[in-house]
Amino acid sequence: MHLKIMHATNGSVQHQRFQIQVSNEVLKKAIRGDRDAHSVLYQTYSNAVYTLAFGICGSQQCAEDVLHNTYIKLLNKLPSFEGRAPLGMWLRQIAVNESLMYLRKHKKHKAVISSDEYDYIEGYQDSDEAYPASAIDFTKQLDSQNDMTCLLNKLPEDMRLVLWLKEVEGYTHNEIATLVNKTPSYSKSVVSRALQFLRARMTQHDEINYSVGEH
Amino acid sequence: MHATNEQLLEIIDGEQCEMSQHVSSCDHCQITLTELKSFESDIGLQMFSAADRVPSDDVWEKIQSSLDQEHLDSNRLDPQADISQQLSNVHPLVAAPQHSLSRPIYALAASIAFVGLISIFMFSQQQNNQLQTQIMQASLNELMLNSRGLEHVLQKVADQNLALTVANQKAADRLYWRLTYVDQLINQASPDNTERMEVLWNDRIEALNELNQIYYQQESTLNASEI
Repeated sequence: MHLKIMHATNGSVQHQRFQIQVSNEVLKKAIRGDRDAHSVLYQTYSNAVYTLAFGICGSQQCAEDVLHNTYIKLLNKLPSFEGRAPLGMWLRQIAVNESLMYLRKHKKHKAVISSDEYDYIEGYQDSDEAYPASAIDFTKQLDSQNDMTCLLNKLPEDMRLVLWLKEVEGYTHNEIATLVNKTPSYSKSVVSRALQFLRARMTQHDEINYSVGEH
Repeated sequence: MHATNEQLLEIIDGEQCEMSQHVSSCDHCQITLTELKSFESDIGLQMFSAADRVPSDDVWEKIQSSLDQEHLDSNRLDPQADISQQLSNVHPLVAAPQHSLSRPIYALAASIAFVGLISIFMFSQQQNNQLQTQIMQASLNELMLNSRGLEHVLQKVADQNLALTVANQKAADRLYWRLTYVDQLINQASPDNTERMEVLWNDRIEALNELNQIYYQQESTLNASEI
């Protein structure tokens, strides 16, 4: 049930985070260079940017670098912000571009899964809200998280990027094509192949789990 | 033949593809479509859940120190900007940077120099034109003088009342007509149009020369027959 509710809203969770608006007063102060206003902007959007970067690059180091560079760029560009699009969406565009730049610079970069798993466990232990009700729930959630993290890390970087932009950020194939300098057909084909890959692996995994459970 | 994964995804995205009709009527494709739709939305959730993290606390501190460093670097690169900024903090009158005044002064000097050059050029052009006109006028005066001289000579010859042959008389008549016509044109022409006047006076001289030639030929023939 919990999954179904999340499922219904998931497509827009990340999108909604970027849609959050800050007050005009904060925005004006931030444009003038007020440090407190900058801090408000960071608190409002940092989670969304961090998650986006982590989703695209797959490592904590990359996500932190992208978050850092995105905010430096945002605060430097802020005086030229005309307000034609919401600030959050403008920031998302900067974050996507920064992630792309990071990937291009670190072509051979590979995520360190074990370290991420460790961070995840630590995060759960530190957070009271997200702490599962029982040890079984905790194990199940951790398994599911790690399965997906492992599977995503198996995808080539380009495929992971396109899949994230399409399935989580809600970009259209045309928008993705423009971003990666390819055709919409390329984007469609990549998403299709990535979904096929994940589906096959997840079905396989479910079958193994089911057979283990039987014994 | 059933729809491919990619075609089914296009249908899920609301796009029309060539297999749309087939999918709507094929049970197998309908089942695959429903499964794919469900899987696609699940995968979005799972990807988001797997990546949803909170950044470490020191990232904001790093951003702030980077911004401070950038500010320092930019001041170091442009010391004049820093000084003028400091001056502007001290007193608004002192703050007016020197280069903001020097620019209009340079512009003014450049425009004065430009106007001066143009004036000199125009003056020299005018001088040249005047000189040219004077030369033309002198040449015209010379032509007029020659013409008068020839006319005087012709008058003297004509006064002798030499009987011309029929052919010479006809030629002389034609030349007199021509002379009269040229005179008319000279009277009508503008005296400022020196080039035109020069052509007309040359024509006049030519006609007078030819007339004189006719009379001299006649005179020399008569003298020869008397001898």
